[in-house]
Amino acid sequence: MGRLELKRRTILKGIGGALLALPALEVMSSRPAAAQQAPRRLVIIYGGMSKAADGRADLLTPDTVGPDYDLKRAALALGSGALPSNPGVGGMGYDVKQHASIVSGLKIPWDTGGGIPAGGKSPEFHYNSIGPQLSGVRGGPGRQEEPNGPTADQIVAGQIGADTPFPSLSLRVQAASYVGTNSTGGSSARISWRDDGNGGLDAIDPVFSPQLLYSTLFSNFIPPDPTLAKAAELRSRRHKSVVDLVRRRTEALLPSLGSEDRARMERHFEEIRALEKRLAAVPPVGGSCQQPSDPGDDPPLEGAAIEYEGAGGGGVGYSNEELRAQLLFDMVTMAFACDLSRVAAVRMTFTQSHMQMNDLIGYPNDIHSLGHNSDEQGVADGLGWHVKHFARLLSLLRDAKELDGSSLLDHTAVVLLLEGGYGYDPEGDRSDAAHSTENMVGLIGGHAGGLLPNGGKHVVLGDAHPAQVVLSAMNAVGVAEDTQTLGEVSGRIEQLFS
Amino acid sequence: MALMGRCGLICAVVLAGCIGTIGDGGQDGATSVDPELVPTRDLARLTTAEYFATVRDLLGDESLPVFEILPADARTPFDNEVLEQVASQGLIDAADYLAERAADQLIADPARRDLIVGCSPSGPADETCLRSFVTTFGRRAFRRPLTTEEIDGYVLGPEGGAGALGYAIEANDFDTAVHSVVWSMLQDPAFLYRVEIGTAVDGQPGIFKLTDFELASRLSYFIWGSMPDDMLLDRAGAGALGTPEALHEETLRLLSDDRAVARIARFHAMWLGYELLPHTAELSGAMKAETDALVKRVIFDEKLPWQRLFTFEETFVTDFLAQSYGLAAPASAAGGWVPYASSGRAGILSHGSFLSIGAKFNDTSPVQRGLVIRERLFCHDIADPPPGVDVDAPVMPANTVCKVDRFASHSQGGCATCHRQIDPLGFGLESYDQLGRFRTHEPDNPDTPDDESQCAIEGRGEFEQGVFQGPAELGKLAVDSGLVTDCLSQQLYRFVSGRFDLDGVDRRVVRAINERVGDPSFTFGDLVVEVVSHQSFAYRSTE
Repeated sequence: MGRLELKRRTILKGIGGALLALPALEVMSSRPAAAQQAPRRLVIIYGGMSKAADGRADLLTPDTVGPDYDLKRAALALGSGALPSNPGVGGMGYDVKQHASIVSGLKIPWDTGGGIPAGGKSPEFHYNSIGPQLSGVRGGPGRQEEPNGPTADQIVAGQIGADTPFPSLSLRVQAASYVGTNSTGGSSARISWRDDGNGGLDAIDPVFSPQLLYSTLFSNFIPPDPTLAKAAELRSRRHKSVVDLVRRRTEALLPSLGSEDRARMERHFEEIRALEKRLAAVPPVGGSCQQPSDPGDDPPLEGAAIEYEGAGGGGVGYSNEELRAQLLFDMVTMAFACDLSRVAAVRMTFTQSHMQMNDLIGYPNDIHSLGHNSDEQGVADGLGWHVKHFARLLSLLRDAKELDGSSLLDHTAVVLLLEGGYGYDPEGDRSDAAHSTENMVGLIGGHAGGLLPNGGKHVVLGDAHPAQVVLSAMNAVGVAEDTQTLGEVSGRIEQLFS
Repeated sequence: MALMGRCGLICAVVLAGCIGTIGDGGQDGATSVDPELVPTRDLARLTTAEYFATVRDLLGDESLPVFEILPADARTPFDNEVLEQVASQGLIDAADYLAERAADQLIADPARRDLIVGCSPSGPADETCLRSFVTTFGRRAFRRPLTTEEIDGYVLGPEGGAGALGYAIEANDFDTAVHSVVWSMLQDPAFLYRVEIGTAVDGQPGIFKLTDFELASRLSYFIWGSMPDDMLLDRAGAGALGTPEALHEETLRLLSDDRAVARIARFHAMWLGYELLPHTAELSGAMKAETDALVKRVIFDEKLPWQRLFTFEETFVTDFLAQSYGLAAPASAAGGWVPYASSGRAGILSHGSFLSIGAKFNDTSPVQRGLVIRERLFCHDIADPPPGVDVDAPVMPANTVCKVDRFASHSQGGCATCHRQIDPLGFGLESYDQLGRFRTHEPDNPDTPDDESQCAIEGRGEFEQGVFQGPAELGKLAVDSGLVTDCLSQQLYRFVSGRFDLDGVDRRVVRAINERVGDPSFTFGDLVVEVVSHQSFAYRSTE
């Protein structure tokens, strides 16, 4: 699949006719996108890797500081040259270096005996670096993975996404947990948590099926062919009736339940209401907004290992995550172009991921083993696969156009964060560990809200918090500009706006 | 197949005395329910596996991409932990998508459609046929009869809404109505959740007796992991589950179905951690088949005492697996039973499926094996490692080569408290590698300059019940001590209740079931009967 591989079932030219075929009420309810200024969007991507393997060189962080930063092996996808000839990372770079910055010198502080510091974590690794990064709030004790505050995507969704059919998209590329001591699903598979309004958090299960994402985002488009349009319009009305009945029945069930069950069912009810609202919305048209073709059934879930006797050799399952990543990011781009959504959080890989990387790095190994038991190139190519999709998304957004002809990337901020850095690991008491939250790196791209006005650069900081990269992206899309705060972490990275 | 459990054998004469607590207090309004033995039950959603099985049994459809679409269930170790079930957008969208797709696939298959609809419509506007379909299909989908108001809601639409009949007329196609009904019902909470409300027990505030239909669902999802069949629903509808005898009979009937075999095999796989295996498809498949065959033979085919799972002298292997283990080839290349003889193996702990657990860095992990035995098999609580311990990294202290020396650091300082409960159990299985192959020496680790293959493996284990060498001796000690049989009741109760953390009432119920099952040589069917016949199965209390 090449770039911007959305095989468009073109309705763009005929969309006006299709809209005319809709009931007047629905036409009236469509948002007047053409009259609005291009909205801002945010994407947060998270990978379950550290930037280097134990005792191995860092092949992600540039040596050069500033705009003319060098691209090491893991970051080559940002450039325009050839990529390592591994199956998942081969081909050419995406030529987005001018749109992307690498921020290094980041650190999540940890408990050194006086309690977990603000924005910090317990000394354990693997389980709990995601919370402080995405919420800015210090984590819980031990191996608690769930954050203690709402994640940035949900905060932003509440402010810039509320008027769209999908206030946020919570997605995951890795299709299954496969086998691992922590890869049991649940929190290790999530990326989004939102404020439940009662002092707690609601966990959000991410969508990992491209087919499901396609269906939910694009099944309401009306095809231009009159016969097909008539059938689609009838289906659309039936769909609304179906969900209307489910919503009414769910509401009627609530009073008969005990308080705890009722609370759970109320959440179910709220989600049905949200679905009902989404069905009532008609996507605006214009710019690059088109209905992509149906990706078809998802690649099968595969959990078998590969026969391999060499070093490393771990890894259990691979369900064509490369194709899944392409499809999911394609659809995020189109969802933005159609203003179906303005916020996406995408978890590329699990914590302590045992996903088989053979198809992505050229030999059997899993992501977890890459961090502990691999050559420098292996871990760089594993990282490179994550960076590739960050770069590819930037290119998709760059090439997609708003109604006014400007690039979507001009109104979007994209962040890539990793689970760990490299350095001292308080858990293992070693100074060259992948299990470290020292020397972390964050990637940020796009130009929303004056972000990277002079192009990309390598910014080196002194133990800034990775949540500051997230906060910078939030500011770029117009959120938290007054407070300059995400959870317990304050201060955007000014170098990203100059 | 009639599975006659211990209760069935012993209690043929005194049946009511054996299982008489089911109906106490519920049948005649008497207030004899012991509130100390009535647990709360959280609203359980169908797990992904239950959803798949339910659609299979409801619609005859096994091609729905359920596992590819629904959010995966977390394992604790079971897949039905209610508190892990989150109703987020992904779930709602997945339920909507799958419901529509199930309806699409039904309509596209006329033979199956006709069977499910159950009547021949005279035309798009055949309201009688549509009502008949909604009534019969709705009862199966929701596991209870629909009220007239509910049927009207589907056929004519709710007040101010549109119903299936109107759409069928508009589309001039009766199938449109069938499609709308299936699309709606399969995403309804009455389908997705096992709603248990019950009826209040007179004089006992907060105690509710499940309706017969709720009881039928609880029974079928426990034993089959799927919806009740028509016979069970009919009996519920006739009020025929209200006696202990009737419930006992239904329990045995459900246990005699192949769905029970699959469900109980899956329970063991999740419990002991071999549901997913980290090997090639061929090896994982052969290992899984080996263990499933043992579970089936002991529990269902021969109805042996459940503890024989740990002492069985034969195993089911393919040529491929026998060769991997170094055992004699079976009579059939496709698989057969071979004796363990004096190999030092016996029972499930000798299987590659179990011995795969916790393998790290291309070798076994005595710690992970020991931990699984302690926590999963013995139901012992082991504290988490203290802060500052990297459980992820290989144990590689300086100046050590052999594993037993490397792990010696665990016996020192604060580590010792937990590790001396764990490591000696794991080291007793060290003569079997992560593929279940016998070995006498450690494998060489290519990532170190040392030659670990010079390290002889003693394979001696120890715990409070004695010293052992290998899985056969460990299995015998575990059985003789009663540790595994006591733990089984607790784990099965967790599975039934969808709750890992047990409260005081739960623990009392587990103790009561253990007491009732008595002799540790019970069959698995005995235990199922005791769980079902205990009053905790037919009642719930409010939180």
